[in-house]
Amino acid sequence: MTKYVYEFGGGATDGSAKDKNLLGGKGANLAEMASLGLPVPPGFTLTTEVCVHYNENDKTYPAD
Amino acid sequence: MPGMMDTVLNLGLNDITVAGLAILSGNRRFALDSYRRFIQMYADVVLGVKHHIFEDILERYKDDNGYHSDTQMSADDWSALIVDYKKAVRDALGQDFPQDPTEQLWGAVGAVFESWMNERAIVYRRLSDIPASWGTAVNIQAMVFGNMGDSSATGVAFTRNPSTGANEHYGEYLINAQGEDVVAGIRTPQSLTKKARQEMGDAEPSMEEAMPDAYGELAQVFTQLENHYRDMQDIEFTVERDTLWMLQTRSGKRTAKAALKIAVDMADSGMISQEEAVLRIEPLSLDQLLHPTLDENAPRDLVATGLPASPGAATGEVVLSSSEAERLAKAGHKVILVRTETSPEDIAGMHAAGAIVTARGGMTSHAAVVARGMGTPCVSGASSVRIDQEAGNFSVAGRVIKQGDIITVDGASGQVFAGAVAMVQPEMSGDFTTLMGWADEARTLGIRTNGENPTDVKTAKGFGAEGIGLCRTEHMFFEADRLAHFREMILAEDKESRINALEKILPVQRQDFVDIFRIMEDKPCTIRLLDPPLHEFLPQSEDDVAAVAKATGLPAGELMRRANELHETNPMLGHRGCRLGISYPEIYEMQARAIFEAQALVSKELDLLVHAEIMIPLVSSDKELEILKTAIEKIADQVRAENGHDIAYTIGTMIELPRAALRAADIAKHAEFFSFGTNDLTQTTFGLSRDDAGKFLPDYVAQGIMEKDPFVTIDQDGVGDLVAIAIERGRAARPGIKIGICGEHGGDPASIDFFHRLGMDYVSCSPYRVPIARLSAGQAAIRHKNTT
Repeated sequence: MTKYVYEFGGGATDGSAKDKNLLGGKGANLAEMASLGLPVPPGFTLTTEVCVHYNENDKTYPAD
Repeated sequence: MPGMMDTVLNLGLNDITVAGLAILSGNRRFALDSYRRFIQMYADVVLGVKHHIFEDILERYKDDNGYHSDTQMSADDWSALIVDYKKAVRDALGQDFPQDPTEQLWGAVGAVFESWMNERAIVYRRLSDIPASWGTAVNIQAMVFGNMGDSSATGVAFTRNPSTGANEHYGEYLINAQGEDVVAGIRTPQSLTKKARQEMGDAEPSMEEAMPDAYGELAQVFTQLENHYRDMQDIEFTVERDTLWMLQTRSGKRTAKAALKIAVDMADSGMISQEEAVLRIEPLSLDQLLHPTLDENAPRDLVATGLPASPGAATGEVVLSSSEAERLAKAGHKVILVRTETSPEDIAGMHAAGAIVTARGGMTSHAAVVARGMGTPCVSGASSVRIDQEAGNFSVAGRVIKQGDIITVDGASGQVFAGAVAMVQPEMSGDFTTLMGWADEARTLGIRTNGENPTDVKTAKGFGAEGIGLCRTEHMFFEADRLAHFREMILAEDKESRINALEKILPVQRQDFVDIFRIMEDKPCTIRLLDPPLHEFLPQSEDDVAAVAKATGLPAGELMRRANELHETNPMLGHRGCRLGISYPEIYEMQARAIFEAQALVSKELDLLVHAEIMIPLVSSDKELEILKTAIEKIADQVRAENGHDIAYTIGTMIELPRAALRAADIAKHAEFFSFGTNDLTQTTFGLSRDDAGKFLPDYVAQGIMEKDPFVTIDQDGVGDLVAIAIERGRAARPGIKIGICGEHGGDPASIDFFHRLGMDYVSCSPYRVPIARLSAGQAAIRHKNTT
């Protein structure tokens, strides 16, 4: 199953600055800062793959 | 890119949760302010209700109550305004503002995904070479509130000065505000540091003074992020009730000057290596440093002053809209875009403008950040500027400047002047010299220049050119003092009268070379013998013919007849290049004599040995070269005997026809060097005339048939293959044959990388491209250190 949601801050951080293609520049760097222990408001990133799916499938989201 | 993708703040607020936020924060005014911001932003971004509708409602409300600032709005005022806002949404859409947070969230996510395909994102991707297939991500993040009273704030910062590169904190913040207020330039923000506040002469306290604890923490984060990323960072942050939160970090956009200083400083401090420093600089950005600045002594007429948002100076016509900027720039006008503020919709117009002026916004406003990234001069926050779109003008304290009037913008001082102000060429800074030195250490390619007049050659030498790779001799014949003689030569009926005319040209042509050799001293100079077809030198229309006949005393009928005789259907593939030398050997003989005599003269005068490389154009067969070389060598022997001074010369050829590339082994038997004329080689390989390509090349690029314009970046697969074949066959036949390139690709970073990999000896480019070529060659050598 493709992972479409990456968390950051609030204790659990899935991504890092290396994941720019998947998380976008902003999301990847938020994850990186959270990993460095900097104060980042917790949240999550919907990946670029969701966007590609959305724009290619008549504005719908992946099932899983 | 700031603001390129959409953002929605305060999502989740509705009529019920806003009451909860009021209780939790103990601040009802704040909660209601956040809610009305949310309605406005959500309605604009997700529902497509124009944000000015809400601004108008707010302005009217303030007017009715005699307020002049948002801070005068009480909780009850915001509450009343929210009712008006919700009514405006209902009026516009025929349905209520969504109250369900889940519905709000999915709506916002969909809007961000869709914004990937909107006009401004498409334009930005095109300008930045980003494929649409990448998609955007969406971040959903807990809100932290910068608008929760005076112990809260929001700001944008750079870990170093993005304009000068100085190692100092740089940025702006607003107390009791949300992020959009700073970036959108709606309120003019305050300085981050005390030093910056004092320099700007601001009365409002800096963050360093107003919030010392939060600022201290922020300064630590700056250091930590820089050390971690090993690069200057562009940061967004919010302080919520004295607690600092980081909202964004990324490598900061910077001017070329700042990029050089930061790279050199970071290498000096050991944070990065010298090689990394060289790789950090975008070669084409060096163009910015070569831009002129205002002449200090020139008279000037100051119109307005704002913030020095992006350095550089430019003169142009005033335009007040981005579409107008685009239209006029396309028509070849130099324009200055003057706006109240800019938004991402303006991106194409900003790109077209020579400089940008905004009435509102700070040093980190959209206009400032984008302009610095593009290397476009920008003055932001020129608050005395009042723009009247309808009247098509702007005014400053009663003085009116109309659309189309000429103004000059100095982004370094933040000043705007009426009319044109004289400019001077910039001095190359110490950082430039240092970094170019590192690039020179790394590179293996030699860098030469294309140039035929002393000014160009001197400029190129100053930029570090190590020789001339292409001196076109035809430009010399267009000069007034010899065009008449040259025409006389073309009109000559027999060889004797042709030689007669050529003898009159010889001393002027010799002087051309003397001037160039004096500048280049013992550096090699490649001189290309006459290349274009003869009819290019004759007048074309009847009026022109009459004028020339009158001025020169040559018979008009004769001129006309000869011009018709020389007319060609396809001159690009006609009687040009070495084909002229074969038909009229005396032309090349005269040119060779001029070169050799100039060499002997300057060699004696400067007590050194001038190195000339005589280049025969448009060769397709070894026979052509053999015949012409023999003739030229004969002249060399004569000049040697006459002058009693040695002459150092080699004879080589352009490789600009596919046949020459394929027959390189035969040609190399006679050629002591090859210089690839990749402009013509691209035309002849594609069977494509450059002058006509503009009509369809954009379609080819848009449809992905060609990745890039092959006249800008060399087509490595096709044209590049011919180059590789010619090098391999040429070197096999004559080991050590000198190989260079003198097409315009010689100044293109991607092409230079390719020429490095092919193992060429040098590239040659126009004078202002020489620094770009030096840096690109250094980068290519570093990048491929372990592979070649």
